[in-house]
Amino acid sequence: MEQSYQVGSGNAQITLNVTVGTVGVAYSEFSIMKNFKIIGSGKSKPRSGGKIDNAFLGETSNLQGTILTIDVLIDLSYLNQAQRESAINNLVVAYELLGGKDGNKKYSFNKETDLMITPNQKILAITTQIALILKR
Amino acid sequence: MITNIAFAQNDTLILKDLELPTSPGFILLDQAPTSIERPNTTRAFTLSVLNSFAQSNGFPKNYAVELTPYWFLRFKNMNALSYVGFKDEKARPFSCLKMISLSVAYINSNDSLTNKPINNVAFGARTTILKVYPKGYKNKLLSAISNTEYDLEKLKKDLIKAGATDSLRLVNKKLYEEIKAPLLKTYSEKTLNALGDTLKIKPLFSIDGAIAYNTFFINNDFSTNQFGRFGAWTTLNLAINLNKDNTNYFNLYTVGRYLSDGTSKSSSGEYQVENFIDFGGKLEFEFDKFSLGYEYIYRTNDKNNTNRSTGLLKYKLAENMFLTGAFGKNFGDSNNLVSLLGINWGLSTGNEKAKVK
Repeated sequence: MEQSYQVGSGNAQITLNVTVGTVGVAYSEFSIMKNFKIIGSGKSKPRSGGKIDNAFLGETSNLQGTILTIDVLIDLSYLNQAQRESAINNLVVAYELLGGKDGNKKYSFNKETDLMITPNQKILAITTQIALILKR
Repeated sequence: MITNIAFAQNDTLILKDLELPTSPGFILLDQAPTSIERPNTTRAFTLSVLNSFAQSNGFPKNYAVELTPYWFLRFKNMNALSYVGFKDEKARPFSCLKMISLSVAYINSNDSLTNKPINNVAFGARTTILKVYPKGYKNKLLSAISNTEYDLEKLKKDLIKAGATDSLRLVNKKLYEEIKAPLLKTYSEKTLNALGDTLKIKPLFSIDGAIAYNTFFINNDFSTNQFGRFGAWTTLNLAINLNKDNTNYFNLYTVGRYLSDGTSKSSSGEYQVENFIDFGGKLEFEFDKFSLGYEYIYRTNDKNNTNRSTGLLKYKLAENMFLTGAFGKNFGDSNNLVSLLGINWGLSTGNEKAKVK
């Protein structure tokens, strides 16, 4: 796990923001996994462009030792080939976690490890996992 | 890249060149099959080559480079709705201004009296200023985006069903990707592209604007730099849909243009500046595979009146390959025959920096 967020102890509320900047049609969802079981999830609102604003993930005591997985799926099929290439190059996907010991911490996706592109470049899938930890 | 190849019919033609994207510089210098055309900003970068076998032994003489900065920029708050001109699900008629394109054209000719080479450089910009879509368009657009999002949500569920779960990614990312990749590929090949079908609907009414400036050099000598032409023009377009598939249209254009022309010579042989007003229109039937049109432009000032009258045909042979023909009269009283037939083919290009896995 490359990325982590220190939630700390106590009962602070942890929230998540997901920002997606693309000309494609985007859909996002997240899940929280503890001991390989999903204990919470959420998704972007319809026609929000894949954005998730201030999603409540839980209190710190419940989130210690969990894995946050964020999936963003993007459909570029309505664009021509040149536009798809440009859309891929200029893609913005960013995450922000708030409320924990790390405070407001921003993350971006790793193009090498998190991004999958279909051969025809019509569909992009970005999956990022962040470990929510008690302390480093 | 777009390469245009024109086949001139005989040596008496004044307009031997054919080009696919009518860069404002080409229009300014009357070096285009049509003087009335809507901006095409679907390409990030276009190199167009105007080729005349008869004049240049096969080597292209005229070039234009056009780019749309929008496609090179990164926007944090961009989404599909804002791209097509909506914000908070409300239409923004002026949102298309962001798609402004900039161009530089390089056009070679010869002085009609001295036969010395003339090198023209023209800088241009154009964009759609306003567009208004027909009634019902917004609902179709919102519905298409909702359907696409629904399909993506279903895709995510299918991935989980197939075993590409969050926990598998954590413990065995390679296997996770081996399961996920073929499913994504299959989905991408079957996606219905509901949004693409909706975007085929053309604006009912639109206003385009363009501006161009030209300077020229005589006999390849930089010190001879002279003002050539300056023009600013606007085009109003009414597009009436003729079928349910949104592929057939009747287009009515009207154009108004201010032109300052410094390329004509006085009786003493000195270059002089004349100002003109152009106005005219174009009728066009546009079908899935071909379009047929006629345009007439009247050019006037307090000394001279002239006009351009041409018929135009464009047939789509294949993706990015068009057969284009134009016949008629260009501006002026001599060397004013427009007669050409050519094949335009091109490979459009996006941002060359794009990394693709």
